[in-house]
Amino acid sequence: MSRRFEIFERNLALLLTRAYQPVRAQPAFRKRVAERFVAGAEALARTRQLERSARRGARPAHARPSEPRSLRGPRALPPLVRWSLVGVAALLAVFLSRPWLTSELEQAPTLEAILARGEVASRTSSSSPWSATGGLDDAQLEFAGAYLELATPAELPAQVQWGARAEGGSRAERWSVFPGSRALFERSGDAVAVELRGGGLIARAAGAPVAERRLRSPQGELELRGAFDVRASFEAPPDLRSFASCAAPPEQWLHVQVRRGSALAAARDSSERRELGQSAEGYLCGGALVDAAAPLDTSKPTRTQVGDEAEAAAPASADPQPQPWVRGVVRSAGPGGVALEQFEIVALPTLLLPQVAEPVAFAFRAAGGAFELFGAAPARSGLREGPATLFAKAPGFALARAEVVLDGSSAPLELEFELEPGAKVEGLVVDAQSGRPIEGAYVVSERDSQLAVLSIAPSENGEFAHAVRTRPGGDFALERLSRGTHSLRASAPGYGQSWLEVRELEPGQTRAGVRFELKPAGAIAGVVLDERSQPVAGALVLASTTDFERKRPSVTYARTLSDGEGRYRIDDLGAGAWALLNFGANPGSIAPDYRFVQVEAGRTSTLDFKPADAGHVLVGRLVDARGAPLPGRTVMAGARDDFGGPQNGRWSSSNTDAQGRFRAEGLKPGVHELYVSGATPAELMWAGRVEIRDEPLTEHELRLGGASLSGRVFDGESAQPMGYAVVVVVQRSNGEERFQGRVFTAADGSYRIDHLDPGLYDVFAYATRGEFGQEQSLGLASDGVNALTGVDFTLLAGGRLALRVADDSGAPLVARVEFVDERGVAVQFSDDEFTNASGRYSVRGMKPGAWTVKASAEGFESAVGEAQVRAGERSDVELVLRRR
Amino acid sequence: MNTDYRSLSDVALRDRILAGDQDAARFVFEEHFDALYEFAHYRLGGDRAQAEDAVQDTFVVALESLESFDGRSSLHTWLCGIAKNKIRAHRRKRRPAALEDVLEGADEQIDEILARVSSEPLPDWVLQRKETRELVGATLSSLPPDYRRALIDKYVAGRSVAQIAATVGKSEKAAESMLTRARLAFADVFELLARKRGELP
Repeated sequence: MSRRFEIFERNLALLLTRAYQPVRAQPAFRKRVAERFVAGAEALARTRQLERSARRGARPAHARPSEPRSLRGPRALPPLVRWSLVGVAALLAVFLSRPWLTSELEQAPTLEAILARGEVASRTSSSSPWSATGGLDDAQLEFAGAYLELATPAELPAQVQWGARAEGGSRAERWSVFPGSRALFERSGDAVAVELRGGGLIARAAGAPVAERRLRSPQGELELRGAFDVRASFEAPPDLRSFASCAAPPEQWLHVQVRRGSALAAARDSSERRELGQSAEGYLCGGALVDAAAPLDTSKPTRTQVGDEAEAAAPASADPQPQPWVRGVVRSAGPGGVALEQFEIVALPTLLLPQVAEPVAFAFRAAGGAFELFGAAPARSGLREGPATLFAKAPGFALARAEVVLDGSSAPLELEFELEPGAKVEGLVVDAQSGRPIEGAYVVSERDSQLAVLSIAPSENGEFAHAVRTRPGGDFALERLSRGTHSLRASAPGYGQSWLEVRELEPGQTRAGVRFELKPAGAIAGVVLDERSQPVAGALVLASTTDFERKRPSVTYARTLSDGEGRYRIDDLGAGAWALLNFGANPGSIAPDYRFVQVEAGRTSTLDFKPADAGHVLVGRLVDARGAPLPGRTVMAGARDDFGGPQNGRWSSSNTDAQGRFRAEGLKPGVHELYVSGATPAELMWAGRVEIRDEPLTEHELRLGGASLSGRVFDGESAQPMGYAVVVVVQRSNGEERFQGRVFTAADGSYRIDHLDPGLYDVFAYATRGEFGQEQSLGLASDGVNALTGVDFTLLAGGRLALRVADDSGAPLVARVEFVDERGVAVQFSDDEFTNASGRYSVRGMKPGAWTVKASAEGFESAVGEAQVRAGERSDVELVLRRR
Repeated sequence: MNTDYRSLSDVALRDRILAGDQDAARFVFEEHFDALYEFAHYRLGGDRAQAEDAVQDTFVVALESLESFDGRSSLHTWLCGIAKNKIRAHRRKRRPAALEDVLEGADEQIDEILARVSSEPLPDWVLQRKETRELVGATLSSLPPDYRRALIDKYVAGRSVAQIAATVGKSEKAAESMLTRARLAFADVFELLARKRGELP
């Protein structure tokens, strides 16, 4: 490098790092011009199309092949129960049904951390730990031993090379692994076999290798010959109609392009292998090359349905054509909506606990906007009966969703999806302490992810998460977000998770300036012991957020396995309460033991799973008011007065069997509160108290009340049913208030709480999204038998209240706060009734009107203030407490 | 599944937009907007209102005449051509001026130093001067968009060559070569502007 070049390189670096200030247009202006440009382009295209159509007298190209016989919208369904209000019950079920409970457990957590840092991970035996390889600029690996496994991050490729050095210094053999790929290199003598598990690679040999070169993949195997240059990547053909059917989804086919040399692969209908010569390409699926299809019968609408590989063991082509369960069209939104050629429908069944669904994707190519979905059959994956959410996704569009009830016996459900361009959120992820940007942080929209549970580890969420990673400057742009309010989560190795709500996104809109400030993570560590106090190796321990308030659409979790001495540790957890579940070494074989742990930033909380104190067991039956058993419910016993948010407490739970029997172990003597999940886990109710005596067994029959309470909740702004409200019932007795039950509204805004005893009840309705004020209906009398119906609520826009509490020197105080509305009703807005360390407490979504705010703290006189809350505005209240 | 618009030629992008591909329109907008805004900003003396008008008009005209874009120049050059016309229109009541005349006057000493950026180390104090910042911005705004992006990615965002290559879908070698060309172009334009602004020989 010449000195002159060195000088210039240094000057350039200085100029661009220290003297460059990007000139940025105002975001509003940028957005306006973008919208006009895109809308203008659309109008231009439409005009051209109309002109052409008029000239030819032809139908527009996107006309549907036939009109549906009848068009009906998605049917209403019960609430989407993807996670439970009773965090524990939900988690228990969620994770019992996850397929990874028994697979992938060997995956060491460090792989995630390496990839999240944007580095290539590699290891030289299947049991050795992963290590980061090379710098960011130089992910070159020498393949010297017998085994090399590597994984590349989303943005960095890697090169694996071996053999003699050719001219120019490069090795005789050089395999380039694409970003976001997994590959395993194995050598036996001079022969090398490479297994591509994901992503893609380019294999090059300068001369013909002396021994065999094999490229393996789940879709089949290739033998590479001669001096080769072969590209292989898991990707779908551009036009699927040109190919015969194959069981695996086209995205999982291995696309092989031979640029030099040749590749041999199994043929589908012959025992002879077929050769792909120079400049040839093909697709491997199901172990063989996929043949070109017979000429298409263009008189019929084309339809291609593919599904989950595991279930589709045999080609579906031999099946008689069954009746579709769902058919529909996918088009772009707007008056000039165009049928989309390429899209995907994802079905996420809505299952009641103890089951949780995995999403299934159906890809459509060249479909003319039309799709049909079929029921699952032995040789074909497909839909299952019951409620589900269907998502329509297409490149360049935000997803659209429909909540449906799938039923194979009736006429096909007709759906129309109109995909909007989507909105964009731009922002930054920074270290909360230093303000420095965090590169490679994972930002995910919980709303647009087609998953009920979201792992902290990005790879466990896969393509069903709508996520992006931050760039080196810590900035990110999350595009194609659907219309509405999004809960965004940001996480990064070493930091706790953080959530932000981005409200009311509109298509085409760019919301900039979203800023995540990540705080140092905390950890939970401890030991897992069995009933004989022996350490349990390989026990699955899982941490989950305790999302009791349903403020977020997904449950966040992380998992690990205990080591040979039963020790476990889960890092990267945000501060706050976490539910910790121990599934044991054989997940699914035992009911998980769960605890609640408070995690603090930068600290490790200790929690040991030790044998329960089996001396105190509660057994009994759960029956309804008429004495009939209630199976499939979860009974929880805990030694706290309120289910507000157990922290560091131990709750014992038990699912009821067919006779309604339950058994809760490990309880300590004393009075316990009992809670029962409702007919759906979204429902939770108080079921009384029981005194656990200081003797081995306490028997207790739980008989629930016989009355129900039901109604609907509406959004007063749009006059639409509110499917995202929570209804809380409080029983009043002798001047005291006690939490009775909580339930979420269904998509049609309806709710119902069962099993009420005779008594006087106050009912509160809150929106879980947006800024609506709460509403209440007070003093409803139940006789314990007859249903109370029509208890409807209309929620109107609320305001915000920002409270600060300080002592008379001005120092902030952690104080207990109470809010009383103008009718004298005390309203609790959160489980946490205390101001934070800065003395602050804020409420979003407070009913407009006059509020009384009271603050109290140990050693201080209480103080009371007044606040006038107005819709859409913020009211500030400052209370000063005087020392006693 | 997403179309890789970056791999498409400018003419292919034009055809996609004309066929109603809104994503192609969005891609073109996203690709060119910032550079065009910067382009207009420096040529209109940093007047925000005028720069906004010019950029907005540029996109309107670009759409109206998109069918006439024939790919003989790059889309960026074509858009800059429209923008220049618009900038001229915005400045027509004043004396037409070249970029170097619009830039804030600097003392000769700074421009002399800046004009030797490719051969002599820059003193620290120069980096803190507004004139230097302006010249850096004006230079970047004059470069082809892929050069501009490569330099910003490399030096401002701190990306590696491998990452730049992965982003633009090129080989590392190609990315490195583009970066080299971008560096040379930067030096040429930067020194030219410094000489002209400082009225140096």
